[in-house]
Amino acid sequence: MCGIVNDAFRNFVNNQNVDNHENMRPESSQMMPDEIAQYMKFMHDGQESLYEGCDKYSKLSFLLKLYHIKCLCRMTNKALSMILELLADAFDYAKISSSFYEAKKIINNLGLHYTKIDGCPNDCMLYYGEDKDKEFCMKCNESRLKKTKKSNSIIGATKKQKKTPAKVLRYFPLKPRLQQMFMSSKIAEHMQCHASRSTHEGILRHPSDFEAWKNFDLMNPQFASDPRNVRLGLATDGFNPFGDLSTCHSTWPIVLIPYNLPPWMCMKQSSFILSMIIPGKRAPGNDIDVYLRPLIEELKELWNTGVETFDSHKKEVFHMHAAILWTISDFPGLGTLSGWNILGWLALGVILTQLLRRFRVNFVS
Amino acid sequence: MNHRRWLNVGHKFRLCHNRFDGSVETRNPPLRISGTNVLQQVQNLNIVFGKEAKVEERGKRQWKGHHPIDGPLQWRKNSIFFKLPYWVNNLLHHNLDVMHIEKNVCDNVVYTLLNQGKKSKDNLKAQK
Repeated sequence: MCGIVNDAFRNFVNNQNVDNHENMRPESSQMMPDEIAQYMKFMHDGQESLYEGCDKYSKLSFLLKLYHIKCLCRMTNKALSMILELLADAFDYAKISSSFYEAKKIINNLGLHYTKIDGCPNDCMLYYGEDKDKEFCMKCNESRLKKTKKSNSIIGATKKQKKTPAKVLRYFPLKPRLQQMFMSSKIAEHMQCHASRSTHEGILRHPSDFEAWKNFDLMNPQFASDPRNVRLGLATDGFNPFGDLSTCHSTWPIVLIPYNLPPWMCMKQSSFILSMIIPGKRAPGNDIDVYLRPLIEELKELWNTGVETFDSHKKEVFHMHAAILWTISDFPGLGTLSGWNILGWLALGVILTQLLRRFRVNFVS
Repeated sequence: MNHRRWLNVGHKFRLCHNRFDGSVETRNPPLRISGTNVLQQVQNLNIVFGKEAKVEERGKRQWKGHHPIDGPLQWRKNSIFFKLPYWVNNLLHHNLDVMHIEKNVCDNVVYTLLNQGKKSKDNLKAQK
């Protein structure tokens, strides 16, 4: 149990235990005081036994086991809440949190959060960065908050109701997720396997045999020099989370695929990185760039400055960089990502403007 | 019948005019478009995302059609991916998901081989 906690707060632990290697981890000294308090509380939960005289389970490990079962069997939040209530009622000497909300508060400290970013309901802008505190959209003047359907007034303006944003983008920060991959020594070893495997001319076994990959290495020799630098693919498509009940809803998840892993791992669901969920009800279409902004900004930062990461396979800290190699989508998705007009007679094929001119001349004559 | 352009230069189908549209194909396949080329075409596009603000004017009617876009019409926006410094030099920018395409191509080949009435692609249109 301590291992999990130490993984989540690796910076802090290293600072405490490995004092002589202080020059190795410059960022560990930047740990916030409330983070330390969080860590201490978490450690306390991890070491506290479930009831007096119990060695097998601690308060935290019991919760994690329950949460694991919940995820595996796809239990609803309510079901787990009811079970926890029953357990807390029956065994009042044990330290079991009385509701799912309480339990989640403890588990959340393990990390890997997501951030909620409000957006304009007409896809004009995100309330992000410098526009964080704006109340109205800069372009279409639409309110940031949700309105009622009937009177078109903001919910919560008159009655005592909670004000809710009209559209919320859920963004999962990329850096902690990439750092997480290097925390397990097995995955960290796999993350650099693309450089060490044997290659044969004319055989395609892994994306690293592709011409595009080799060209990328040629163009960016500094990036290619460290095989631990992460190469990502971006995939997206719309789907309807409400099944058959609603036919006109389209939510767009954006998934990143780490191509560093060997081919039998990189296309497994467990190694996909969910980057963001663009909410419906309409598909973002050409305006998808508005929502991609946080991701692109983080990628730019990852490319230029990189992020300090602990490699548990080689037991060292290194500067990790990441790059997107290509995107994968269906044909309409290609139109939204690239900006290429997929409708009309020029939809298919690779056409130069010169060719275009020639065609036009032919039509006129 | 432009697809014969992708065949090798000396391929016999290129010369075989009476089986196709009555012409001998001499053209090479079209040139591959590079990232810099795309950026050049797209650079001057000025597109604002989202919805236009409602203009509350009474009396005069205004034309509410699409505003004309400067530059080549084939591009709808300057994709945000070009903000990544390495994107311009990439060889391959966008891939198509093969699942649907594979199914449709496979269907067409099988129906053509089995000569399945309407679904076969070996028809008058293909020979035109």
